[in-house]
Amino acid sequence: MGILNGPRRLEDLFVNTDAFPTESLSVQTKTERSVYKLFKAVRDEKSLNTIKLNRESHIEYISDGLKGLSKYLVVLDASKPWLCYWMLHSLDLLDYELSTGLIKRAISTISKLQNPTGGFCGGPGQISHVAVTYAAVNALATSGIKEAYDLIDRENLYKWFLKLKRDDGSFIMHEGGEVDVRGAYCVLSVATLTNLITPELTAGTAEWIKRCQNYDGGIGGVPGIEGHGGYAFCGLAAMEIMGKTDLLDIPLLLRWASSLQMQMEGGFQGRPNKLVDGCYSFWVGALFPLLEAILTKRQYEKDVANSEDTQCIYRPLFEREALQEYILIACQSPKGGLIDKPGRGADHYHTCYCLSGLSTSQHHVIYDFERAKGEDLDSGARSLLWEEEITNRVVVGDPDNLVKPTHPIHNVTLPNVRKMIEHFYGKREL
Amino acid sequence: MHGRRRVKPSAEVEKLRKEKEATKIKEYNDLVASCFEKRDKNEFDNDAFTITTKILSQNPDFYTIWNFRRSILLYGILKECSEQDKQQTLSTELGFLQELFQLNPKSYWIFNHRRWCLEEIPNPDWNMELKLIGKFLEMDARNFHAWDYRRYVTFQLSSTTKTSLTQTEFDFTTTKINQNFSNYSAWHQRSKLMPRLIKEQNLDEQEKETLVNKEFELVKAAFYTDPDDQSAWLYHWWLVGREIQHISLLGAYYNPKMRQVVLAFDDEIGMVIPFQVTKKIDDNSPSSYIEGMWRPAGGELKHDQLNIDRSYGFVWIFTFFDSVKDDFTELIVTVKPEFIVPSHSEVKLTRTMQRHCIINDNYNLENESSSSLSQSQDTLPIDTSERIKLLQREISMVRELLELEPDTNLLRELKYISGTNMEENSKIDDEVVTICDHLIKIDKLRTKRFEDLRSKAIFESATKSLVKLVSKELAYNDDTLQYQDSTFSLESKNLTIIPTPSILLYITKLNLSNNKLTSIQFLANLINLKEIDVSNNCITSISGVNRLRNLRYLKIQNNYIKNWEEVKNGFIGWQGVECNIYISENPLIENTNEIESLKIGWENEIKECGDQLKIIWK
Repeated sequence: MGILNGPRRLEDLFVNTDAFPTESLSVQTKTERSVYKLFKAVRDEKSLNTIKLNRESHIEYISDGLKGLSKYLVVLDASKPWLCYWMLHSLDLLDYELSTGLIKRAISTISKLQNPTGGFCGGPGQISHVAVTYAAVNALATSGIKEAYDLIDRENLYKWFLKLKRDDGSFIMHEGGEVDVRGAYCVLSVATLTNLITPELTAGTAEWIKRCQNYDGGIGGVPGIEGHGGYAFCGLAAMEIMGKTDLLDIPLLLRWASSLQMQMEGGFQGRPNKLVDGCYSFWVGALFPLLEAILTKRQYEKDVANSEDTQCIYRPLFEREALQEYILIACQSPKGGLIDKPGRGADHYHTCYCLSGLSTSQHHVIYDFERAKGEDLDSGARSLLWEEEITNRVVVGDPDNLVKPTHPIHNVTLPNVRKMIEHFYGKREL
Repeated sequence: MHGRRRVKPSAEVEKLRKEKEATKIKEYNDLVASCFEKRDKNEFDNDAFTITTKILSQNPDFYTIWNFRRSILLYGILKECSEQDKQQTLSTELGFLQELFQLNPKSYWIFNHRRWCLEEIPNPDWNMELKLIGKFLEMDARNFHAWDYRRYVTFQLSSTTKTSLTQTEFDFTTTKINQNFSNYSAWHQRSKLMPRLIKEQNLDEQEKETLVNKEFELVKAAFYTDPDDQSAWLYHWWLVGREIQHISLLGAYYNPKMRQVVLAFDDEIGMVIPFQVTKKIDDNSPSSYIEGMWRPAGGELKHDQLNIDRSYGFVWIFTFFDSVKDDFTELIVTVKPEFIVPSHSEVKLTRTMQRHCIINDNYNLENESSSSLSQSQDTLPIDTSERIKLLQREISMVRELLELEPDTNLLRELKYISGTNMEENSKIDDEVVTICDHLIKIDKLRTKRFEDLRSKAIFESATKSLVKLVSKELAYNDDTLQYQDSTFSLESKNLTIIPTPSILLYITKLNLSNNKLTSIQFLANLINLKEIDVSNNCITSISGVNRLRNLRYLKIQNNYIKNWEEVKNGFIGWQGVECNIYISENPLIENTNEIESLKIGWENEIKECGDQLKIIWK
């Protein structure tokens, strides 16, 4: 249905401006107006059906980035694998065939960033960092070749993960670093892809993440702090990897996540009463396939147990078209690349997560319970059971806007997740 | 850049800019290289320290350099220096961080390093930290790094001074909310402080009420200003609180004829570990286990007693093995919360669930339950009667708002608040029904949901009197059942679901005609049914009746049954006896081909398993 063809006129979707003007309200109003202007133009020209994802210009933007970055990106000097991952994954989503030269270059860059004591670091000579390691492994997964997988020193990676683990089940981000739920997610996602999940690694982690969920359903970075879209994704994805989502209050999390989709903008905010931001298209958007699978699973188990024959698959629980409208109309920089919100400049982070969110809203990626057959599968096998429900695609605008489906846990395209898992676990029937 | 025209830079300027940029990058790279060289040689000297300062000023996210800087301080500069010098050096360090904060208020690394400094410094000035973080939250009141850091600082400050800061922190959130009531970070923090405040200050009932009322006034002020504001509603939601829904055992009985123990719960449950059934032969003898099998009323019989396999049902049946002798005076069934999976996660299993039901020789049920409401840190510490008072007041508040702003989502909230009331209050049920009726009209996208909600309210209100009866009436044995019929009717109520069928367990004649039910699977739980009327509904197939041994009449006229398959599946493995099934006025009957399939199918496939089944389609 979306916003532009929705049941209410665009003009009725503004927040109430008669209210007392708080700071939150005034910035919200400003954002709404900027989005409204863009939406209105599309509505008046009746061009929604032909709206295009500017694939070529985004590819060009990323390719330029690959050549070299300006000095303004010096803060990312400690995040080289992140840049690699954002760019490669964006290109992969856009179905741009990565050249052998490019893949070789990426692998060579990343290989230099692996430390003999385990894990990857942000730049030459630096110490290993969990988030950077996640980015490095996802970039290697995206490259899709055996040579890339084999450079991962799994033995030392595992030892290093254990060194970062604390008694309460949480993980620090690096030696001497801070604790938050990103640590658990990054460790577990990497460990799933590389076949390193063990009871030793996951002991106590689910119980710690449970403590991060608040009364409103949201999940914060550490216990006691307010919920946040990015941390909520990390928390839920980590729980899904461990098969421990029953510890969370799922309906409450769903209620919270749903409340983050904006009525005028169609995109997601990261916290209540904050502004829309293109990057939450993935962080919040990808909560939904996970939540849908958990709810489907509960229904499925019940039906199977009661010998009932219902084919219940939860439908997407957010407004997929509205999100696509926001990304396509409000988040494409005319110079290429994607952005946080109108008026902002493009960067590789937002390009990656806007496109990942676009993918999440175009494809309905579901978990195949039939194939799981109620068996106790390891987390790698379970990651393979995510697949696209082909009959349930929704593409706003030009049909060519379709990007590749991404994995809701790892955020690597589905075929590349499969390749890597089959490499580390051996070929399997699933 | 706003309002200024951009001029495309000339080639000359562009070249200069690029050169300048290249120099800068080179400078930076040289710095990093020399820094790593020092690190690799373990040179923890002032030179190294200055280099890290330069790098971190440009790139505060460079976590490796922060780690090296800490090493320099620990193993170089601060080593063997006096307490006074240490204090001086680390104070300077804190000053450096403060400068960096100006440009990078959301850097994980700066906060992390600051905590380290404060843990190393001989005399940390926590009061200054508190002031500093206050300034931070003036710059950005939603910075969650800053809120987290604030909690850390207040914890440290109150442990060093041994005084509680709960009140001052509470007041701080008030200030923040007064500045901007959409600041959810502040509301959230308040939800953490409020229970602590009440506990620490040891308030009496009167004082507590005053405090709570003031809280409602504050949040109300926010609604009245902007009824669409998310933050205030979320906090209000917390304030009102949610009752933990407990699963309860509605009743249990022993059926000597069938040699079965039957338990009825008020939620659909799965069994993780089979409940233990034990018997006593006389008062003095020890109890011994009874062997048998559990199954949900509608579910399959499991052959392995230990393999319950997560079946779900409202009503559970334990059938004795043939070898068990009827020599007992008392049966004891032990139900523990850890044995149960609730059907949805909104239901919490608490210790209150722990019950032993004892069925003595009169087959009477006794409950031993400990009903203490577990109070968690995260809720407002008020008791049930206070909460009911509070709910009633809030309902009228929302109603008032609703008239002010009929076009907002507030209606949903009212529904929610009403839903939390534990006391069975038919006035509230009626109100929910009225509201749902209204919502169904105005919110077409959620019609189904409101219809279900309304059905729930109607059902709960209508069966209120039955709940007590269940445990009483269930204390019968099968013989009395033959003579005692109990009738219950809920016709023409627009019901779309039957939320808790187990409440109707002892009913033998049930009339649910003229509703909007789409499924009759719930009938599987009603094992004592003799007559059921579900005519004039929206049922698409017959199900849930094949195990109803006593069923004599199934009236399912005028529904949406379209073909033979939808009839057939209801009678596979039929276990009942004589039964008349009325299926006229279904689409199936209007189709001559389908009637033909029905006639043939009935003769060939159903008659064999239940030759006393009679189908009436005219």
